Amino acid sequence: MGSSGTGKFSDYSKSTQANTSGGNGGSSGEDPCAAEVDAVLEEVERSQYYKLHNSLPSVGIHVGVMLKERLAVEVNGELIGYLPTEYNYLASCIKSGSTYSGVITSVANHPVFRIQVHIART
Amino acid sequence: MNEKLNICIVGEVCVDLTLTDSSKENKLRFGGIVHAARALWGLNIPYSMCYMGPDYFTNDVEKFVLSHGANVVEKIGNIVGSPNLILIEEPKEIGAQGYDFILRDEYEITFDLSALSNRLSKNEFTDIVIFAGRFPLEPIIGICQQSHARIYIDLGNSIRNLKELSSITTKIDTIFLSTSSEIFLKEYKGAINVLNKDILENYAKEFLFKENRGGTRLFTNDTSSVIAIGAQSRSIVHSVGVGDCFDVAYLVFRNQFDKRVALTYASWIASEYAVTTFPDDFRRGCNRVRKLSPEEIISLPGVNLPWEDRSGRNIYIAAPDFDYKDRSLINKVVDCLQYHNFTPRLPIRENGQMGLGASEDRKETLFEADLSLISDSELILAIHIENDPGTLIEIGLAKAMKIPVFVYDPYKLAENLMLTQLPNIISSDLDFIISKIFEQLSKVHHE
Repeated sequence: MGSSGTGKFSDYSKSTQANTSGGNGGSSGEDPCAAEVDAVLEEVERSQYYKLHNSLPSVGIHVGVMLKERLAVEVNGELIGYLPTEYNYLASCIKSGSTYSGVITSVANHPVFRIQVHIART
Repeated sequence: MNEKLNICIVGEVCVDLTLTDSSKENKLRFGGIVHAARALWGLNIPYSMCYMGPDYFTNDVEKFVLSHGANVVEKIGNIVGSPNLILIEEPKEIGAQGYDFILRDEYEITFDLSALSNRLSKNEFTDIVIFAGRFPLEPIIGICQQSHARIYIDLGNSIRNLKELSSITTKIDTIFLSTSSEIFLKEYKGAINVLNKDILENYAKEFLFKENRGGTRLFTNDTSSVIAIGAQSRSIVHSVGVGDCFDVAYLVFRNQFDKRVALTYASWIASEYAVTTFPDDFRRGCNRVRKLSPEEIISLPGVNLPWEDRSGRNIYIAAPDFDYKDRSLINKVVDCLQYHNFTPRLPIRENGQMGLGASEDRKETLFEADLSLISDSELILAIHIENDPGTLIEIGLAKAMKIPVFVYDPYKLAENLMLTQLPNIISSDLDFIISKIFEQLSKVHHE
C-alpha cells in the first residue's frame, strides 16, 4: 500500500494551489465579501419601521444594508432590523468599497416578530 | 504612541498538521510563534524572530518567515528528540482541541542565546513577546530583562505553574493567558480574581485574559477598572494560533490607539485569522479591518460573556439520553459545553431513567423533576438524533414557556414544519450552535 500526504510547506503568500483538494496555497480564491448571506434580523420590534407602521414589511421587498453603528437593514431608508454580529465583517467590506442589498425572504409575527433577508454584494 | 516599533517574537516553532476528513488534504503549516509572525506580516509590521526548533526544518522556517515580513531571524535553541509536530484533531475549539504533541516526552532543548544577547545589548528591540512553550523560561526572561525593551509573555498551555515566572525581577509589561491554560484551570481552579491579583502583584503591569468566544478582559495596575471587549462571533475554520495573533495585534494597535480600541482591533484581526488558513486571504482581511475607524469598530457589538458568568447557566439537554442507547454524540455536546464552563443539565442522568412498567408515582415524580429542570434552565439545547417523542415535546413545551430553543440536528433529520420553524436556531453545525449559545447567554447577561 502506498503512502500519501502533505509533501511540503506550501502556504506561501502568492503561491498557487498545488493540488485539487484546496488545502494549500497562498489564497483560497474565495472572498467573504462576495458571499451571499441569509440572515434573521435582530431588534425587529424596536426598529424604526415597526414603530412607524405597526407592522412588518412584506416578503419580496427590496432592502439595503448601511453601516450605522451597527449593520442596519433598511427599506426605503427606514430601519427594519440589524444583521447579527456574525456578519459584522461586512462592515469592513463596506468600508473597502462593497455595497450590499437584497430582499426580504420571510416574515413572521408568531411566536416572535421575525424577518429573514437574503443579502448579496451589488 | 505611534512609536516606530521593532517587535521581536521569541519561542518555539512547531509544525501544525490539522487532520481533515479523507476528502481533503491535511493542512500542514508552521505553527508555534509563526502564527504571531503571520499576524505581523498580515498587519504589514516588520519584525524579528528568535526561535527554537529541531534542525530538520531550519531552512524551511527561515525561508518562510523571511518571505513573510521578518527582518531578522535567529535560531536560539535546538530541539532534539521531538519533531515538534502537533497533530490537531479538532481545529475549531468547539470543545477541547485534541492536540497530540508527537514524542513530547523525548523533547530536549539546548540554548544558544549569544545572538539574542548580542541584539539585546544593542537595544535593537522596542518590544519582546515571549510565547511560552516546553522550554525553560528562566534563561529567556533573564536575558530579555537586561534590555530596555518592553516585555510581554503569553503563557500558552505548556506552563503549569505561575512560579515558573519567578525569574522576573522587574514587572514585565503584559501577561497573556487564555481560559484553556492549565494555570487558570488547574493551578487556580478557574478563580480569575486570585490569578489576576497574583499576576498584577508579582509579575506584570497588565494581565490580558482571553476568554475564547466570550471576549477578552484587560486587568491593569493603573486602575481598578477592567476593560472588557466582546469577541467577534463568526463562522471559523480554526482557532489554532488565534490567541497569539491577538497578542501581537494588540501591541501594534496599542501603539496607535487607546487600550479599548486596540483590543477591539486585535479581536477583529484575530477573527480574520480564524476564518482562513490562507495567508493572502488573511492579509486582505487585515487591510479591510484597518479601513474601519476607531469609532466605527468600537460601535459594532461583540459577544461578551466572562468565564465565571457561564457556570451555573443551565442549559437543558433534550435528547434520547437513555443508558441503552448510543450516547456518544450527547456526551460530545456535553463535553463541549463544559469545556466552555457552561452547565449542561441532563434530566435522565440527574433525575433518573423511568424504565418499563414504572409506577404512576414514579412517573409523576420524574415528570415534575424534569419540568422543574426545564423551568430552571435559560436555554434548551435539543439534540435531534432520532424522532424521540420526549425531545420533541420538550422543544414545544420550552417554546411555550418562552425559553429559547436551539436544535442540534447533526444528521439533518428535521423536516417536520413545527420542528424546523419553532426553534430559535436549528443547525447541523455544532460550532455554529456553540457560538449561538455564547451570543444568546451574552444577551441575557447584559440585559
